[in-house]
Amino acid sequence: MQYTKRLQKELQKIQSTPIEGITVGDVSNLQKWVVQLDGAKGTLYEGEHFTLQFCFPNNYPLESPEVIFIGNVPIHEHVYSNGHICLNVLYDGWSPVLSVSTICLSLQSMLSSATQKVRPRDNDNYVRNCFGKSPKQGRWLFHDDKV
Amino acid sequence: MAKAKIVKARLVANWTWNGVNEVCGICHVHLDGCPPEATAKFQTPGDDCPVVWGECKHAFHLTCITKWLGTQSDSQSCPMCRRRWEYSG
Repeated sequence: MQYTKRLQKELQKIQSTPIEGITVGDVSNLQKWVVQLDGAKGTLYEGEHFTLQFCFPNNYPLESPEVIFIGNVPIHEHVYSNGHICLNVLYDGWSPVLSVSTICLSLQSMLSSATQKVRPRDNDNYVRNCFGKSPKQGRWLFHDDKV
Repeated sequence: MAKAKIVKARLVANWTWNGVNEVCGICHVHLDGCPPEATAKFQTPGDDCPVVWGECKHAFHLTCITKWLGTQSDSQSCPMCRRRWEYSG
């Protein structure tokens, strides 16, 4: 990895100055982090805990990390039941100034703005077709620009 | 008039790139320092590791922004504000 130091710095910062509701778990492999995301107070997800998996490609941050929910996947209009997340900054909208903490904050805000707990309309079809693939391999159409 | 003879002097100077006191948004190293891949051999902070500005006033290490623009096929955008990236003269 050409930017290993940047990732190490991100890790140090997130551990030394934690953000509420975001806890870094297993990072024994620097290129694969497990991060716990807590549902924010006063939202539909209050009291729920979710787990994110970040996989960093060799040229991170020039390329986005692969981010998926694992285990308990939140029921949300933009989160497929296989853990894939429809959020443009993870794909076409990526910029190298984004980071693990800004992604977590975006996801927390995405969850917090939900008014109902539903799966994406095309969930079954999507999950069937992308079995075993990375969400970064698909082409995403973003049908909601409010989030 | 007594004359003093200077035998030895050690001069120290401070420098910084004009108007930037931040880290590079891409590598997270201070703009006055070297981006990570440069530290390996001969490069030292300063002219070896230039900082460039866009028309949008955002600054990055030259090597960092070059690499980012190299990953973008059609839209050459500033990582910070997503405006079209144009080097500021």
